[in-house]
Amino acid sequence: MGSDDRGGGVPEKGACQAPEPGLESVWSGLDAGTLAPDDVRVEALVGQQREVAADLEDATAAVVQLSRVLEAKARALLPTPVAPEAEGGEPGAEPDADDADLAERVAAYQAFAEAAALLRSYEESRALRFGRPQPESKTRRPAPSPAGAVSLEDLLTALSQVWERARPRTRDVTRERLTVGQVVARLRTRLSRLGSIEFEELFPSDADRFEVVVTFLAVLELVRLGEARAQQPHPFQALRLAWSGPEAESR
Amino acid sequence: MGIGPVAAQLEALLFVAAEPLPLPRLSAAVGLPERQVRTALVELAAHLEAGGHGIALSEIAGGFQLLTRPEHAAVVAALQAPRSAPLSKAALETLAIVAFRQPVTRATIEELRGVQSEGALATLVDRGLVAEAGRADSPGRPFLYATTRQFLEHCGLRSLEELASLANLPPAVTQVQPLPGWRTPARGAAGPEAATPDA
Repeated sequence: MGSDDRGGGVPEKGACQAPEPGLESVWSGLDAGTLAPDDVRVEALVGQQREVAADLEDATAAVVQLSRVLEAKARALLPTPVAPEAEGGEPGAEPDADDADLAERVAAYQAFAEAAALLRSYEESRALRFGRPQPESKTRRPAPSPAGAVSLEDLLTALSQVWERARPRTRDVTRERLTVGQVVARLRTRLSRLGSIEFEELFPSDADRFEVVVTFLAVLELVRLGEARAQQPHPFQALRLAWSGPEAESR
Repeated sequence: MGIGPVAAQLEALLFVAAEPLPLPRLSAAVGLPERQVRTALVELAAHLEAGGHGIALSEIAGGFQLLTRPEHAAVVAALQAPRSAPLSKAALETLAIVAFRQPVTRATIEELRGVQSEGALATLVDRGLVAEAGRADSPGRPFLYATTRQFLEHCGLRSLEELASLANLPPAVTQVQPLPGWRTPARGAAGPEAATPDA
């Protein structure tokens, strides 16, 4: 635990202002009974934590600690509810379950805060001793999992072995004979003859995706050439492609 | 003061190694029983200690490594950047919980700390100090986390047992109750305790 003086959190009236104890000292004092909850100066603690909090995580932890101090202080100041008389026992003999739970949680947290301080000392001591630097590739490698013990690199190595063994798949690729030019010519003929065609009727009913793509490109090409225009005569009505090429005016 | 041939061989091996070398590996490298290798390591450590060398033999993370002496840290730091930035308070608290309660779920960590610890845990995983170590048999089967060998290296520890024995901490912390089988490392480089250094 910290080296702050315990019990120093009780400012005596008329006396010189003692340095404010840290949060950890306050908890130690509360735990040891050397500091009364209503003597804890929460405001001073808040100001202290504002100065020492290095980052958001530190600040969050401090807020939680301070809230626990407030809770403890509130419990001490509020009147204690009278416990119902136990059968054959003395009134109020049972400790408050919430208080016990809070004390337990605080004690557990404090214990791990001490453990963290211990790790900090180990970390600082280790930082003073240098070894041969690890190769860059090794330092970037993800840490192995204690449970899995198989890294991504292992998986890739195993895959490469299977890959070498696997038979390459070959198949004949036939050239698609349908071209945008062919469909443009076909649509041009149909449009000039019929005047307009509903959008969905532009595509053969059994068209595969390749034919759909080619046909749509042909539609765009006709629009670009000014030989057709897309239109929707009425709201929500089906789209139509209308002929606007030669002899369109005479229709 | 000179050293014997085995100690000299071990010195050469440790000189080129960038990570702690476990005793079995050293034994295999020099082709001698582990007991003989350990004797030679003691000889090497005494030689480095008595000769006023700038390096020392350290037993760390289940292996042995030549490290510079702490009193030369400032000089070395001028040439070689520190390995990594120190951990934040939140990360250290989270690491302490994982170290003493492993394997542990994130929910347990957050229950003990009273705050969300996802960021701190992610930092530890990212730095290789903590890793997933299976799943708990509780609803949702959450991930379990445990410390890695890198954690031991980072803190300069020989083993987790050393941490528990050295720490003068409340029983709530040192009362480690690992799940069965979590500690079984499948590979030499993996796992929080792949090798026990104390022969």
